[in-house]
Amino acid sequence: MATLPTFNEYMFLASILALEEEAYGVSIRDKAAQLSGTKVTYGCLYSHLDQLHRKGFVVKRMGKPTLERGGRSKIFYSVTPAGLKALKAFASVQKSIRAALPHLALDGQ
Amino acid sequence: MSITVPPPCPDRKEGPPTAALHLLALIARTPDFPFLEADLREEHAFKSQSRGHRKADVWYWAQVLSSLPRFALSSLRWSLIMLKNSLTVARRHMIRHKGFSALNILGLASGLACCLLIGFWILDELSFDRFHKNAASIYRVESDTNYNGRILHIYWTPHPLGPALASEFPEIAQSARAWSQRKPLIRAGESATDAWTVWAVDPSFLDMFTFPLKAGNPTRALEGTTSVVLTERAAKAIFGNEEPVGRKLEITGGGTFAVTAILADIPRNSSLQFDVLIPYTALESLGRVGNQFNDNQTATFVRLADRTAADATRAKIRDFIRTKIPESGMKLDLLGLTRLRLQTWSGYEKRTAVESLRLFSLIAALVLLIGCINFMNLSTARSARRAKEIGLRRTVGARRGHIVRQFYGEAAVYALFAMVLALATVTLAFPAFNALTGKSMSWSTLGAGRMALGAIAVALVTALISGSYPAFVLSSFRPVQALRGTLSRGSGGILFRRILVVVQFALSAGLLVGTGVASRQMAFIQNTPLGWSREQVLAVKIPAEARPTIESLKAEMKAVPGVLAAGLSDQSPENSTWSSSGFDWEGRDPQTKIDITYMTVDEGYVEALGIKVVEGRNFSAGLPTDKTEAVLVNETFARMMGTGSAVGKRFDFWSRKGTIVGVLGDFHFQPLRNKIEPLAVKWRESDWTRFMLLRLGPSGVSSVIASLERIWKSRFPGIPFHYSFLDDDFAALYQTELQTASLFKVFSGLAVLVACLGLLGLAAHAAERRTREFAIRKVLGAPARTLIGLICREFVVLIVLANVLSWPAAYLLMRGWLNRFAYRADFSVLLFAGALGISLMIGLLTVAQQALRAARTNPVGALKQE
Repeated sequence: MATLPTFNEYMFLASILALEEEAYGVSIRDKAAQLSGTKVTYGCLYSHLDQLHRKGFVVKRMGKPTLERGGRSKIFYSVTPAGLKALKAFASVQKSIRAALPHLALDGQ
Repeated sequence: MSITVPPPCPDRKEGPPTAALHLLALIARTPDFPFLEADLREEHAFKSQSRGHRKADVWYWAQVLSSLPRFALSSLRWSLIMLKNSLTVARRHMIRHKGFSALNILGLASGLACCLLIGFWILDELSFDRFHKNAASIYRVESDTNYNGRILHIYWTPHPLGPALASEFPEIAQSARAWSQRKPLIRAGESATDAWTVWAVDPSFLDMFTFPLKAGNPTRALEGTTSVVLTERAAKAIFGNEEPVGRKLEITGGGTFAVTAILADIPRNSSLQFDVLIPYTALESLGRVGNQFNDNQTATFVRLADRTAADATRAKIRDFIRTKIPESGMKLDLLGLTRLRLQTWSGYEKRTAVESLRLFSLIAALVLLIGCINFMNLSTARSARRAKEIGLRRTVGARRGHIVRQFYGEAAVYALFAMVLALATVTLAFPAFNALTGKSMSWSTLGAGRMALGAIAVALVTALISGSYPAFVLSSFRPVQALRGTLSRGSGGILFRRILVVVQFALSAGLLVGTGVASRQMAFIQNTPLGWSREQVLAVKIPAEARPTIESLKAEMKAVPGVLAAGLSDQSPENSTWSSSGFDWEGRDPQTKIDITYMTVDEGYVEALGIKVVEGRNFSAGLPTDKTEAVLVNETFARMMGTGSAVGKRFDFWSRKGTIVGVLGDFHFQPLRNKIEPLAVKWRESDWTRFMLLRLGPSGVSSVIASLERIWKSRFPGIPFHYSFLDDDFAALYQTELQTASLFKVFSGLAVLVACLGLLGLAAHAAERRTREFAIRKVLGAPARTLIGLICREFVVLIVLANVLSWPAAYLLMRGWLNRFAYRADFSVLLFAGALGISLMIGLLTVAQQALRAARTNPVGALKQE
């Protein structure tokens, strides 16, 4: 597929991957906020999840309904092979950027 | 997609705020909305446990509100995607049903083109005189005088009125007088021309009106008594390419003037048209103006200090003349500058042109309406074809609003296409339309950008009107029925569509009747015997210089071979308007004050115009007493005098003794709008002679004119030779009516065309709907003409009904128009029958072609279906 994830989509993709089996709305939002260091709204979260799903980078799976969710089930996300491939490509680009511009990485720390 | 808000928790205290929840439901466009909602609920529950309910609610609100922009954006994206889909579908439908789309677009385009042209015409009319900076606060002073029970409305006012008003009423900030002299002879060095209208105006004129100045100082341009201001084109014509400022010119009867300033040419959309301005003081120094309040010769303009105080000021100055002349019956009135254009005159009676503006706006709206109805008709007639598509859309979750929006979108696509076509047509039609209306409109004069915006707005309104019915009908389909194909095939709309066709044809028939009435009246005017013959009569304009030697000029011109008769007159014969109450005659009732129209001519006049002498004799050049005492009257006057012969009776012209020597047959000396009134004719006075009328033989007209012009040139070198044919002058009198008649023709033609397009579509649909019925009838042996008759009968009833409905309205409207003529071709049953005949014929031709196709199809194909 020619369509690549956007920068924000990489971030959510990474969060889902990091959460393994436990990736659903609340946890993804927390993780993404933690990874990016910024606030993430639900509007932002769901519009990106929709996009990732539409582009075939994630799949959805229904969980069991729970009481604290008003009797609703959770929807869990997991990364597809295409998503993984895109994320790996992104990581390697990041790595080569770090190698080429070491002072960028230093600035961050 | 259907989003339902889950019911709030039984115990509200634990759930998130309901209002925020609803807001979220309204804006969140994600297929996972339930989970999003659940996520929020989970975190809300967690937060309210750890940090308290209040803080959790605040957090919830913050989340919803901060998500708003994101969701709004995504919702916009989705509606754009849907729009793209709608456009694709619309495009495919257009391409697949080419004929149907062409009919639709053509109908809309004709309506739009009509609407645009008439709209431009109206805008142009309304744009008159608005370019002056103070246009809204400038008024012309007019007056009403009660004259034997008739109100005479004139805009000529006494000379001292303007300055008196400005000094006595604080409400009036400024006044300017304008006294006009039509085209006197202007000499400058070698050149002499009489092509320019001269106005004598107060210096304040150039301050009150903002005619742009090209050279010179507006406040000082009209100082003194010998300054003159020219328009650019007049300066160029008089002085050629030389610098005009500072040069001198001579105006006949006015003296010598020096050019002080140059005006840009007066814009076309100005009611005040002049080319030469001289100071009012020049008139005063010549003794041409008096200081009396009973001498109405000048136009007076005033600028109000407060433009909202017009009514109060009008009431205040109404009886002003009476404070100067106690016995005067003249009442003053104010007419706004921007209304000048809309006021027209019929004799001395005021009339406004707003009426014809309204009539044409109505016609524009009607033609556009017919186009819209066309669209509705055709779209709903084809609804069965779209049923499956709509059913499918609804099954996969489209709401009714989506379908409505889709069809509005489609209507907009059609309307925009039609608008492009209409704009192209209008651009091509500008020259013809200008020729018809005597305007010079083009995109640049109208302001193309503004007009384009207007056009788009009109197109969208059209889409809104024409799309509304199809949108609501089509969106009301029940999905299951639509998909199954059990939808009754558009039967519910049949009555409505028939009503639409009736409306269309009623409007067209009304326009046809209007066209008939207007054309008949015009033909009537052209063919009414006038009592004088206008063919082959040349009217030569006589300037002041030629008057002293006019008799020998007449003799010389009459001697030219091909000139049959020559006469002199003070007025043009087709529009003689001088009248006076200063006459007395034998047997006059001293109580009545009656105006008698009069003209002064010579012995050749009657012969040159071919007027009949029904009793007594014509003037005779051989009798010297004829020049002082003889009077001719017309038959109407003779009738008014009562029984017995009028010849030999006493008739005094302004207390000078006279005798009636002959009675002339009644002839129309005024436009046919007016009745023939009593007329008295006296021997000409040299000062008043304005026209020489020459009756020419039937052949060699151009060589006769050439020899006449040679004679003129040898006698009056430098003075232009102006002549016209009386039949042209006569036609010019009815220019507005002729315009109305031809505009009617154009628009009613278009209306009928558009209505036929609608009928064509409907007939095609009717034929298609009954394909199988026809096939069965055919198999059972029905001949083709029976089948054609079946379809045609249905439409004949509709067209006849439409005609009958339109007649009363057409009758009332056109009677109003005809009433402006004293002599008119009255209504005849033939007009209505003609409109019926034409619409039936065109309608049937349209339908028959479709019916024929239906009747000719092979019945086997139709019966094999399904």
